[in-house]
Amino acid sequence: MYLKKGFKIFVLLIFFGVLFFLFYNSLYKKDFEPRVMIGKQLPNLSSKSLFHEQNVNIKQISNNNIFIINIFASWCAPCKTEHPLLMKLKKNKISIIGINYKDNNRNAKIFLKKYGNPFQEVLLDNKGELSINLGAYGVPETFLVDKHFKIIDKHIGPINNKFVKKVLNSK
Amino acid sequence: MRFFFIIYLLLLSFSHANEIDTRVNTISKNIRCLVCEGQSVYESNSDFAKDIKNYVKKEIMNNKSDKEIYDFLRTKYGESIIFNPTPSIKNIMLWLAPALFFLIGVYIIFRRLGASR
Repeated sequence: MYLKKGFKIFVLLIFFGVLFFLFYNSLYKKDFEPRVMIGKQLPNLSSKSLFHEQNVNIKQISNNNIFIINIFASWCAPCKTEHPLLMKLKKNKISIIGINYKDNNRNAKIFLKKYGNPFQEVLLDNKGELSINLGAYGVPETFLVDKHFKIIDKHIGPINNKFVKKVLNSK
Repeated sequence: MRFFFIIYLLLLSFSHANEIDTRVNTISKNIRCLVCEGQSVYESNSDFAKDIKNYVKKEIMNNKSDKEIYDFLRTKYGESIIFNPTPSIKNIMLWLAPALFFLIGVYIIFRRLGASR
């Protein structure tokens, strides 16, 4: 009788334990913040360049090393905040490819002239299609990509010293 | 005759455009706006929502099925971008859990009542 009762309690405990685990896991669902692109291959992204009117493919620009993709716009205030850090990365020989999100070409050029140009190339994303392909949802957003075109990190919002350090360490 | 043919073509293109818009709206209502509080892409006017709506429209015009559009967005943003997630054992368990708790409760109460009589 006691054994039977003990078994029932054991089954109930297992059952509640499994349910608790499921609920708890759902509460801290990792993909709620869209970081699902980390670990995936960089999609094929091609668009017109800001500097010349020709079509450019990101995979053809990179030079067999880690690189950064930064989504920015001249109208975006946090982009100005992170700009000195992008310049710092450029000084440390990190290649940065810009994606100019829904911007006016003239304003974007003025922005880069005023604050400095950290980008090796800038692709135009007038309709936001490149950003969707990258799984981004705003500006600024930065992706760290390895030489095999695998996305190894993503930073939402203006980058900080911690991210810069991580990029420099991954070199 | 030519006049009627033109009118027919115009009506046809109008109904096709309407059909596309209806599909865009239906899909947009099932996509979560990730930069808004509890809004769907259909309800929101944010840049993110506009981009997704444009993408959905473009893909519908490229003859993509609803499933292909949802699958693409899932790979880019995760399951949470869709309001109606795909059925999985985990989801079903979560939905059934309250009913199971209730049934277990009722069973325990009846057992106790039976024992006390």
